Amino acid sequence: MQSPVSDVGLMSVPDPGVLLRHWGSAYVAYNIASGDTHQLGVLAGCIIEHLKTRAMTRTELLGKLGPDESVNSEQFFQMLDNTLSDLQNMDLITVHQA
Amino acid sequence: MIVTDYPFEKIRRKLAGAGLYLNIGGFVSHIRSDIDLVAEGIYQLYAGAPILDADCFADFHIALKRPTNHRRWLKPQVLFSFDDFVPFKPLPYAQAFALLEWGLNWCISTHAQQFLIIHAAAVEKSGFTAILPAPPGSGKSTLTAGLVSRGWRLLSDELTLITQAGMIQPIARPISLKNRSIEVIRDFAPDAFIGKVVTDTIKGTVAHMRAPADSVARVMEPAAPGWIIFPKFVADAPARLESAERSYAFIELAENAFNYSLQGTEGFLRLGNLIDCTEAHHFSYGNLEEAVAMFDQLARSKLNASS
Repeated sequence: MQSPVSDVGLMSVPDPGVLLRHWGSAYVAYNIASGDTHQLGVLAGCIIEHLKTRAMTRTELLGKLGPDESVNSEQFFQMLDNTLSDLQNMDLITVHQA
Repeated sequence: MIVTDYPFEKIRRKLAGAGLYLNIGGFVSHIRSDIDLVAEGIYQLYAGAPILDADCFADFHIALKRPTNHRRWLKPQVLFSFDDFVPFKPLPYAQAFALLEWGLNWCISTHAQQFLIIHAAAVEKSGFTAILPAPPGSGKSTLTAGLVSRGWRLLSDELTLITQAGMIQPIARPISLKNRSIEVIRDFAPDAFIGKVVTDTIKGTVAHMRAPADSVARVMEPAAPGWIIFPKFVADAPARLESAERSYAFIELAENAFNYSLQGTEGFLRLGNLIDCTEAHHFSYGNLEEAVAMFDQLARSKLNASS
């Protein structure tokens, strides 16, 4: 499955970075540039954790989220793209045009 | 020397003259006022507060006076000023002491930027602090007054100050009781001193309860955080404590903080560290005795777990 988010190329957290804390499966993210704080679910939190290490494409991100069946379903792809879109709207990820 | 080491008349004269240097919860306030309601309020409700020398450093230079316009002959009012700056519109004269209290809250919340300041009450027992953030009408001050009447130490009724080291800095000041809670506390704690009742304020009917003497005396002893508890008064409901998500507690505290955004990264880190070392709960109650018993139980459990 393809989505607008998946087409655009490399994703990263915006400069100068995003701070992340988590308690159990709930995350709180702080955008250093904007000063905004967001409460995130587990998938969004994991995405930010991975993108904090380096910029990644959607395919690379999928590989990091796990090789198992659960991340290989159309339902998951949809959820991932919705989450990436939400994170982009919150300015927690930046998409670099290919 | 504390306030009641002096006769009332001397305190009144100091206030009306060069001013009184009062250590109010660790902040030195230089207060000037020729209004008797202010002098009476300070004498009764800050009875145990230390008085300092007139040449000492003051954090806040405050004055409460009557405006000099023609309205003073029609409807007497009182004006609060800080360093000769007037941050609020004047209020009816009868609200002079309440205005001092609200003005002090404003002074601390806008100037004490060394702390992360959360709009919440804080009470301590057995070395652990319960932070009680809640919107108006949730029963926060009633619960706080009830707890400190039964052995909990008052750290603050209104502003929880988090230090860089993650401790809670006490500012034991009078507890602001509103509307029905005034009678509830009179019944619950007949020995507590409650000052003049003032009606028709923006918060309804207001009266202040004096902070316990022990809390005032220990104002320079910071306390470790233990719990973040979101209280809610529900008429006739049994006391009930439920776990809250820590991420929810984080967001609620950030929204209830006066200077979280101003502190930027430091605010995020300080709040995160606070959440790391506390339990978060929702707490509903309809009966103050039950509420205090449940808090006592919580303190005993924490003490047992830490020993």
